[in-house]
Formats: sequence, C-alpha cells, structure tokens
Amino acid sequence: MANELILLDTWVSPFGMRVRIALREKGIKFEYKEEDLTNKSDLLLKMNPIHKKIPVLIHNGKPVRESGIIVQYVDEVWHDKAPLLPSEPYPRAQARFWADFVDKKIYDTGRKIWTTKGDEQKSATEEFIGYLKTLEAELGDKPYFGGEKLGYVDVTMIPFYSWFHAYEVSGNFSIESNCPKLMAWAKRCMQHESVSKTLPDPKKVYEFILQLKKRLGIEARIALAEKGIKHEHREEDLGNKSDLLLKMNSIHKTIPVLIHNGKPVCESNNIVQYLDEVWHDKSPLLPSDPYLKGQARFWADFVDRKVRSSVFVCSVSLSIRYPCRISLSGFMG
Amino acid sequence: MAKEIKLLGTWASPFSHRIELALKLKGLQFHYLEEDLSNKSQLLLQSNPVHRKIPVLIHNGNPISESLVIMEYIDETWQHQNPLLPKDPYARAVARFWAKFIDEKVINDVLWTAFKAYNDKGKEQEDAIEEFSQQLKFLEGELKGKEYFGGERFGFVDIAAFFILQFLTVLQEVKEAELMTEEKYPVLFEWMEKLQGNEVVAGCLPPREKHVAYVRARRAAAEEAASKTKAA
Repeated sequence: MANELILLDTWVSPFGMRVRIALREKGIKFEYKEEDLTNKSDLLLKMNPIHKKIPVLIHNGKPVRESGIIVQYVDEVWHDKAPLLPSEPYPRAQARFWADFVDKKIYDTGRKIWTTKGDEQKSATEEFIGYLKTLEAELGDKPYFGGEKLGYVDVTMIPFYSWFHAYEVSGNFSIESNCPKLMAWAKRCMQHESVSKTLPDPKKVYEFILQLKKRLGIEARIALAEKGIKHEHREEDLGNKSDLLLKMNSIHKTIPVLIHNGKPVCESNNIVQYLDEVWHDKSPLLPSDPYLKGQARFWADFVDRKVRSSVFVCSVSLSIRYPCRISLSGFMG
Repeated sequence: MAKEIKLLGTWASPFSHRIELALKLKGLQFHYLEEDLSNKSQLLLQSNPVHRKIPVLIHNGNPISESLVIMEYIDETWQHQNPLLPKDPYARAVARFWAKFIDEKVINDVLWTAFKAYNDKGKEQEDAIEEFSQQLKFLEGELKGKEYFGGERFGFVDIAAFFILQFLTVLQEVKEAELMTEEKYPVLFEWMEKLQGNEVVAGCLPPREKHVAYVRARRAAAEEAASKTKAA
C-alpha cells in the first residue's frame, strides 16, 4: 500500500513547522504544498471546510487537521520511529498539558507584541516573558522537554524560536537576557536537522510580519490609536467580502480601507500619511523635515515592494538608523 | 497501595462534569472535592499552579489538569474498561478534532460571547448567535447517520459535548432567544434524548432548578454591573 502524504502548509506558520519537524524526525517522506492564505486552494477548502486553516496532513486522501492532533497522529501511525510522546500515561498527560500551555499562551501573546504599541505592548511583552520563564522552570535541568531526546513539547514549542527575533524587534526587548536557559534549549534543538531544515530565517519572519501588519490594517489601527482618533472598526471576512468593501475599494478589493466621512482611503501607507496630515497636531508619525519625510516614505515603499518578493537584500534594521525615532518606527512598524 | 482518585471540580462547570462522567463510565470510585473558586484551596493551587483552574484529577498524588488531557489520561490508564477513544489512529485524530472544536468554538468562542453580550442586545449578540448556529450545524453534520459521535457507542466526543444537553435548555429558560429547536437540529435533539435516558449520563448533570437559579443570578449581576458602567 502506497503511503501518500501531502502537507498543506505555509512556510512561516509555527503550527505547520511542528508537523514538518515531526515528519522529518521520523524520516517520513511527504509532499509539501505551500498555501497562499490570501487565496486558499480548493484542496484546502475541501480538506478543512470548518476552519479553512493550515496545516492539514492528507494521508492516502484523508485529511488530519490541527497541528497538535496531526503530530499525535503521525506519532501513533509511525510509532516505531523516533517516538515523540512518552509511553507511560502520566508522562504523556504531562506532555499534552505543556503542549496545550504553549498552544494557549505563546502565539496569542506574541501576536499582541507585534500588533500593539505603548502600554498594551509593554504588558504583552511582560506576559510573554512570564510564560517563557514558566517553560524554563518546567524544562529544569533536562536537555529537552522530552528528557534526553526531542519530544512532543519540544516539537510544539521550537517553531516559535524562528519568531523570537520578530517579537524582540517589535517589542524592543531581549529574550536571551531574560531567558538564557530557553535560548540554550532552542540552540540545542537547532542542531537537529529536522529542526534546522524546517525553521525559516528569523529575519525573513520579521519581514513577513511587517508586510502582514500593513495587509491586515494593523499599521492603520496603530496610527489611529497613537493619535487617539475615535473610529469604528469593522472586521471583514476576506472569504466573503462585504458590499461596502467592494464599493469602497473597487480596484483591489482589499483591506485596509479607511472611510472618513463617507470617503475611502486605501493602502496602508496612504492611510497612515492621510491620518498624519489631517490630524497633524496629534502625535506626528512622519518627520516634519521634508527630506526626512521623503526618506521615510521611500523606505516604507521599499519595504512594501521588496518584502513582497522572495529575495530581500537589505535588512529592515536600517529603519533604526534614522534620527527620528518614534515617528519613523511608528511609520515603519 | 490503594489506588486513590480525587477530582477537584465545581458543580456548575461543564469541564468538571466531563471528568465525573468519564470516571463513572470506567466504573471508577473517586473522591469529589467541591472547590470554591472565590477562595481556592491549597490543594488546587498546588496541583495546578500554572492555570489554577478546575477540573484537576489527582491520581495516587499525581495531578493532571485540562479536561481533555485528563480524559485521555483516564482512557489510557484504564484502557480495558469501556474505551473512550477508538483504536484506529485516524478515527482518534477525528475524535480529538471534534473535542477541540467543541472546546474552542462551542464553549469558549460562542457561548460565552452570546451570553456576555446579552446586555448589549443588537448586532454583537446577533453575530454571536449566528456563529453559534453555524457551530451547531457542523455538529449536526458530524452526528448524522450515527448513534453517537463515537459511532455505535458513547465515546470521547460525546463526553466533551454532553453539557449541551442541559446547558442550552437552561440558558433558553433565562433568555428569550430560541437558540436550539428540534426543527433546526433534529439529529442533535435525538442524541440529547438518548443521553437524557441514560442514567449515568443524566446523573452527571447539575440539578436543573439549581442551575437555572445560578444562571439567572449571574445574568442579573452582569446586568447590574453593565448599567453601573453606563451610568458612570
């Protein structure tokens, strides 16, 4: 019987990475299909009609969904190769508990770090460090959460290591200085080919987040929050776009769209500049000096166009070199 | 050494009821300890220092937290009596998926939103109710053609879902909205009737009168708090 395995996934997803690591640890061959989450494939919609999310593992035509469930499934089917869960019920329960902890706490709190600013961001950063310290305590003196070898919890948590740089830059803090033990653990995991082959370049993850912030209108929302502008936020279902969206952005039909007194402003960079011009007296985001303003616009546009392509030459750390700290970082994220 | 099983729970929590049911289905004796969540016991805080939540199962002094994790532990430790999860890995993956769906969508996402939003009647509540209907439709679809979510026998997903039985009818009593009717969800209704007729299952549900009074009191408190905020 042929074992046909197809993984619907996206390169940057820590949830998808878990599955790839598990399959590679066990030396299982699979076909990888990169999904464009802004334009989901028919296969994905058919295989996961309820959540429409990746990862989905299709084994001989049958879909397995939810990353933790997929990893457990892979561990049960290929139980003789590199077992990830312990064999005894109590240690298994402990492993499941800690994987559930990672699932419930790490991604959502991390997301708050790169989608907010000011006090909200600061408290998210503190909360995040708290959770990492809890994990450090659980790790103790063991080389891995799984004991002597990579286990279920290690596989569940290690993908976030590729996101650490993005969190650190966004929140302006250091994970290494707060949680040195956890960093040591992460580097240990990276020595495994299954992990090093799966985790993307952290710089690419950061660039991805910058792009995502624009695409999701997060930059626009941060700008509105910084200026204290009252507004109504309407969540769009991109799989079922509202008539209002289609009317207000008839050309691209994408978010974000700012509607001010009935008139639409589209494209994240345009919205932020518009807000800065109309509410110029409150918390300016762009520098007032025309040359520096031009530079800020150039780099914002550069990030937009270069990051879209898969080859990104310049590091985004260039933004930090500019003298106008808050304005530029506010603009560039 | 006597095997000792303790369950820390609360009478109103559906997560707690699940564990009671799982233990009873396995024919296990256990000590039930009612927690006062406004004044958590030392035992609870020591047994679940990370989340400080119920339910917690303590077996031979070893604590386990998170209801679905506890259910899998029970099933693996007492695997020969009345198995809750199927043997086939694919069927297990499907069962785990639906249990997670119930936890993340039916209980968490929707039910609490629907009833938190009852003070701001209007679009937010409408949206929450619409989403809830969608989740129920998915459950209805999964149950179609089967005796139980677990197939021929009551299983893991049925245990995760059985709170629907009482919780919904109670909430409907304190609210005007008809969240669940037999016309809309005939398959789910048939399943609920089966559960109601099962002594062990029905025995794990909280007393109806007490539960209705509890929900009414919570609703009144929330309304009062909301009107104070508006006045402020």
